[in-house]
Amino acid sequence: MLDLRVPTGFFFTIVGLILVGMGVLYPSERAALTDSNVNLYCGLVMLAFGLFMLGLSRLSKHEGS
Amino acid sequence: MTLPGGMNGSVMVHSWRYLGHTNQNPMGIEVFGLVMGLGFVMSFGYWCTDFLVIQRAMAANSMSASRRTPVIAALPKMMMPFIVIVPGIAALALSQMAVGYTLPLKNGGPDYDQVLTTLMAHFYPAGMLGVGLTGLMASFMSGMAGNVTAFNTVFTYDIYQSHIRPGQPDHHYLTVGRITTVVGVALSIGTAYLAQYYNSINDLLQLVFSFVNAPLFGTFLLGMFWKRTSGHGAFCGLLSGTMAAALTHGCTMAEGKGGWITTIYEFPSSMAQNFWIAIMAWTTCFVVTILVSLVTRPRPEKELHGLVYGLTELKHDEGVSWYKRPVPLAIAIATLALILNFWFA
Repeated sequence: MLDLRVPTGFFFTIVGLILVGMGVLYPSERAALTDSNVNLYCGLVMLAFGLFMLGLSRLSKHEGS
Repeated sequence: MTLPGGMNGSVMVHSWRYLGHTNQNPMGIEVFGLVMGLGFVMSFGYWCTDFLVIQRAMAANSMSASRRTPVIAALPKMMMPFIVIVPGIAALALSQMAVGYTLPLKNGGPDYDQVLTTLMAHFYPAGMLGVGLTGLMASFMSGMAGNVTAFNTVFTYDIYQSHIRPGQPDHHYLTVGRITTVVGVALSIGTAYLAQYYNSINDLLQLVFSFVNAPLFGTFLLGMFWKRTSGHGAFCGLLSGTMAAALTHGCTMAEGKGGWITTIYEFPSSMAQNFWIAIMAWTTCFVVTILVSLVTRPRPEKELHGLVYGLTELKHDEGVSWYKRPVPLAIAIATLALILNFWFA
């Protein structure tokens, strides 16, 4: 059966990478009403979540085999 | 913060304080209409008879897991008010703060369906905006996919295979299922155009629920827990319940909708009207089902094993750890719901 953590992990890793890239390459791209680099911070959180999911799926694969 | 109707803005963060009378809150509903209409009829109707929800439990890999499904699903559902109300409050506040944001309008009133997208377009930076729109589209698509699958399953299995053409080979039903999917998607596109005529998508959704789910919930409730219920009773109840919904909708007006027979009463909002349609439909179905069942012949008890509560051997969750059993989980969820209700009373 498909481990849902794999597509979830890949999705958030890819989106996170794109957002971090945006945050680093275009730091002047700011949201209205805030001075923080929203793209960078959100991207980092999504990247961390995606990698965490991928890590979990790797871990359970090792246990299963 | 002041609401458009001149009401105190704190009405939006209290669930119970402004429910004493219909003129205290913008929805124009009082405590009985809300608890009975939304809390009992609509919520139980959605949770227990909506096939989109039921099919999740059916796909579970064990009895214990399927019993846990609705309990666990209640947890994210409990957080829905925050997702729904907070952006609305934010939009209202931001529109009064002179930051260049104005509420989207439709027919002179606020366009509720567009609030989230206009907020995102206005306050997200490029980058996050794409992610936000992707998330929105993904949730629309998953909801639609679930509904089309449910439509497909119910039509192909329960209507076509059971009543129209039984005994055909599997590939025949597969083809029918595929055609049903296309028809289902076409129907949902048509519904989207129909929804344009309503003040918001939610108004139409609750109207449909009050017509379909509310009487159905009365039938389900009696069918599952009262072994005396007869087939004729259930059919008459369902029919009269749906007719009661149509009558209520035809005799009352709300925001220019309904009243296609005559206008006896005018509700302050479509939502209040929907709740009362649901109450009427459920009560009629419930009473008529009982009355007709009492004068028609009951089903023999041996045909009801596995279908009615008292005549079914319940599988208990042996060998499942306590935190995976439905009852402790349900108690935890109910406690959380109570805390939230006191917190936002």
